[in-house]
Amino acid sequence: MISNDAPTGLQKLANRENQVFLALTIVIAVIAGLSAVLFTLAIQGTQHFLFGLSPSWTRLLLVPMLVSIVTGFLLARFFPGARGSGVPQTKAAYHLQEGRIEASIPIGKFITGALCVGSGHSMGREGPSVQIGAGLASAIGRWFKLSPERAKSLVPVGAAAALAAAFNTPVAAVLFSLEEIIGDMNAPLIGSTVVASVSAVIVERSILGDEVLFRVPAYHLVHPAELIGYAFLGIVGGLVSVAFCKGLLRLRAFFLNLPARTLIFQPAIGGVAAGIMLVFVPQVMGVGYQYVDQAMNGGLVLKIMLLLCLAKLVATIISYASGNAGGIFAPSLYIGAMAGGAFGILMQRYAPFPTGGPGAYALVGMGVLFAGIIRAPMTSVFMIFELTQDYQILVPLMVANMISLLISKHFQPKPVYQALLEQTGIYLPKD
Amino acid sequence: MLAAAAIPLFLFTRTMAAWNRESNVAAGRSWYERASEPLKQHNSVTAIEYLRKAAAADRNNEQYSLTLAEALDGDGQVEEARQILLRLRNSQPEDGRINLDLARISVKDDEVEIARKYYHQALYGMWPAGQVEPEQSRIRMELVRFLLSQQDISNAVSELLILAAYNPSDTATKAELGLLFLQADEPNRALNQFLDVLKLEPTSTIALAGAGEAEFRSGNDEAAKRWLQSAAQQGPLSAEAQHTLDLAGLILSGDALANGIDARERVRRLTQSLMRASDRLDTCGIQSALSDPGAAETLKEEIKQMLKQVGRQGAGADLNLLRDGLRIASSAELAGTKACGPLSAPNEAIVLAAKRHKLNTP
Repeated sequence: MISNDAPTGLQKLANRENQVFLALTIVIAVIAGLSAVLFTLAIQGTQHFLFGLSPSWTRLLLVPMLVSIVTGFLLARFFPGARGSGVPQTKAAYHLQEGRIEASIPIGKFITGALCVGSGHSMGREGPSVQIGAGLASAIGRWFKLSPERAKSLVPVGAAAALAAAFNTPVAAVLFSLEEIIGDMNAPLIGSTVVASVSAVIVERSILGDEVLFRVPAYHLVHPAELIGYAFLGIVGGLVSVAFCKGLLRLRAFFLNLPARTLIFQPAIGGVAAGIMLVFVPQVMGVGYQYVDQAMNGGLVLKIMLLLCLAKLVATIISYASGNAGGIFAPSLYIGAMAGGAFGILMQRYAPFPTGGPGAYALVGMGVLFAGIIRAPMTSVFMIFELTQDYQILVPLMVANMISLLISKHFQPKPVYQALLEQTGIYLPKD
Repeated sequence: MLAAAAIPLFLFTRTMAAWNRESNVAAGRSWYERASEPLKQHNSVTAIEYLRKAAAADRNNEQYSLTLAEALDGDGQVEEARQILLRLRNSQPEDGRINLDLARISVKDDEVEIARKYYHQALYGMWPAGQVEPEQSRIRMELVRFLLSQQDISNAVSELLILAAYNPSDTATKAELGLLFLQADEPNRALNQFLDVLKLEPTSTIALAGAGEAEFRSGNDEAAKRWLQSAAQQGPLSAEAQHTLDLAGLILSGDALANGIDARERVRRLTQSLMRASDRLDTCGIQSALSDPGAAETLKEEIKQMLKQVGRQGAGADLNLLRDGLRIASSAELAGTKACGPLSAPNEAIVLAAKRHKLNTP
C-alpha cells in the first residue's frame, strides 16, 4: 500500500529541481562574486598600468581620450549592450527578455568597464558588476537548460551576488536586487538572493580579507534638533539628485540624437572632457572611494568638497552620457559624501545648536544622493547601516532619505534607470 | 562540472588579488619613502599628500596611518587626525604611541579627563622592547606638565614622586624633575633633585639656580643667595633667577625681624620699610583706586603712628612692636598692588619678609 505522504513522480522532479536550483544558486553566487572581485582588481590594475604612481598632466589629459577611442570601437562593433551602467539593461533583460542576457555581454562589460573606469572616467564599478553577475547567471541557466522561469530567476541572484561582492554589503545587495532589478520587495526569490549574497561575500572576504570599503567614523546624534539639519540635508540632496538626473538625461539625449556614424567616437568625446577635468581636478578619477573616505573622516575642507561635488557631477554626466561603460552607483555616493560633508561644515559653523562632525553628514549625504538618484530608499538605508553598523544613524538617515526621494520624485518623476532605458526605446512593464 | 570550473577561477582571482596587494604595498612604500623628505623639512602639505597616498595604497599598514595622523595633527587638522587615531586604536587599544597621540590631541581640545585617560593608557601601553622605560619617563613628564597646567597639583606631585622613585641617572632629567617640583610648589623635593645634579655636575647653572630658587621658596634667603651667586659665577642668570637673587639680598638687608642684628639696626630697617610703604601710598594715587577711600587714610595714619612709636627709646627691643610695624608696612604695600601694579623688588622684599615671619596681612 502506498502512503499518502510519499512524493509522487512530479513532486520528486520538483524537489530535485529545487535542489539543483539551490546548488546552482550557490555556484553562480561564487562565480558572480569572483567576477566582481576580478573586475575590481582589473580596474585597479588598469589604472595603475595607465597612470602609474604620479601621472604627468599630459598623461591625465590623453589617457582617457585614447582609451575611449579603443572602448568606443569595442562598444560599437562588438559589445553594444555593454554601454553605461548595466543596471537598466539587467532590469530590461529580467522584465522583457525572460532574463536572457547574451554571453558576450558580461565579457564585453568586463573588458570595456575595466578600460573605461581604469582610464579615469568618473564612473562606478557596481553597476557593471551587476550586469556581469546577472549575465553570467543567465548564461549558466541557459547552459543548464533550465526552464525559462528558473533561468529568469537566476538573473537577480547573480546581480545580488555580484553587488554583495563589489560593495561588501550583503543585506543591501539583496534589497537592491529586490527593489531595483525585480521591483518587488515581496518577491519569492528573496531566499535565493540571500543565499547568493552571503555566498558571494564569503568568497570576496576569503580573497580580499575583511577589509572595510570605508573607514566610517563613530556616529552619534549630538542634539535632537540636528534632525532638522538632516531634513535640510535631504532637501539639498534631493535637489542635487534632480540636477544630476536631468543633466545626465539631457546630455544622453543629445548624444543619442547625433548621427549613428558618430557612435563609435562618442566615448572619445567623453574621454576628451574627462581628460581636461582630470588635469584640473584629478580627484574625480575613476571610482574615487578614497576621497569619500577622506570626506567622512573630516579630511577635506569646505571649498574642496564643494568643488569635488560639482566636478564629480559634471564628469560623471559627461562620461556616462557619451556612452562609456561604467555605473552611477559609486558617483552618486561620491557626490553625496561631498555635498553632505560640505553641508555638515556649514551646520557646524552656523547651526544654533551643537552638531556632529561633517563626517556624519557626509555619511548620511551618501545615502541621500543614492535614494534621490537610484530611487532605492531601502537599499540606501541598509547600505549605510551596514557600513556604520550603528542603529543611531537610522533615524536621521530615513528622515533625510525620504525628503530627498520626495523632492527627486517631484521634479523628476521617472527614475533615472527607467528614463535611460526609455531613451533607447525600451519600456518596462508598469507593474 | 560548474563547481569544478569555479575552483581554478577562485585560485586565479586569489593570485590576482595577491599580485594586486603586492603592487599596492610597493606603491604605499614608495609614497611613504617620498614623504620622509618633506617631513624632515616640515613641509607638512606635501608630506600629508604623500602619506595619504601611502595609507590609501596600503590600508593595512598602520604605520602609514599613524604617521599621517601625526602629520595632520602637526598641521592643525586635528579632527581628521583624531578619527584616524581612534580607528587605529580600535584595532590596537594597547598601543602606547596611538594613545599618546590621542592624549596630545585631547590636550589641544581642552578635554582634560579624556587626555588624562589617554596619557595613562599610553603610560601603561605597549612600546617597542627597550623603549618602555624611556618612553614611560617621557610621557610621565609630559603628563605632569599637563596636570600642572590644569592646576591639578596633587596628581602632578603623585606622578612626580613616581618619576623621582625611578631615580633617573641623567642630570638633565633630574634637573627637569627639580623644576617641575618647583612648579608644583614642592621646594624641598625640588632641592633634593638639584643637589643630586650638583653631586654629578657641580657647576650646573640650572641646578645652582634651581637650588637657589628652592631655598628661597623655603624661606632660606641666605642659602638661596649663596646658590644664586654661585650660579651667576658660572654664567648670566635668567631674569627670574636674577630677580630672586635681588629679592633674597633685599630681604637679608632689610628684614627688621632678622636674627643676629642689634636693636638700633632693627629700628632703622623698620623705619625704612614704613617710609617706603608710605611713599608708595603717596606716589601712586592709591586713594582713588581703593574701594574704601578711607582705608588709605587709615593706613597712612597707622604708619604715622608706628613711626612715632618706633622713634621712642627702647623700641628696637620690643618684638611685638616690630612685628606690628612690619605687618603694617606689608599691608600698605599689598593695598597698593591693585592700583599701582606689581611691586618693585624692594617693596616686594618687605611683603616677603612679613610672610617669612608669618605676619598675616590681608
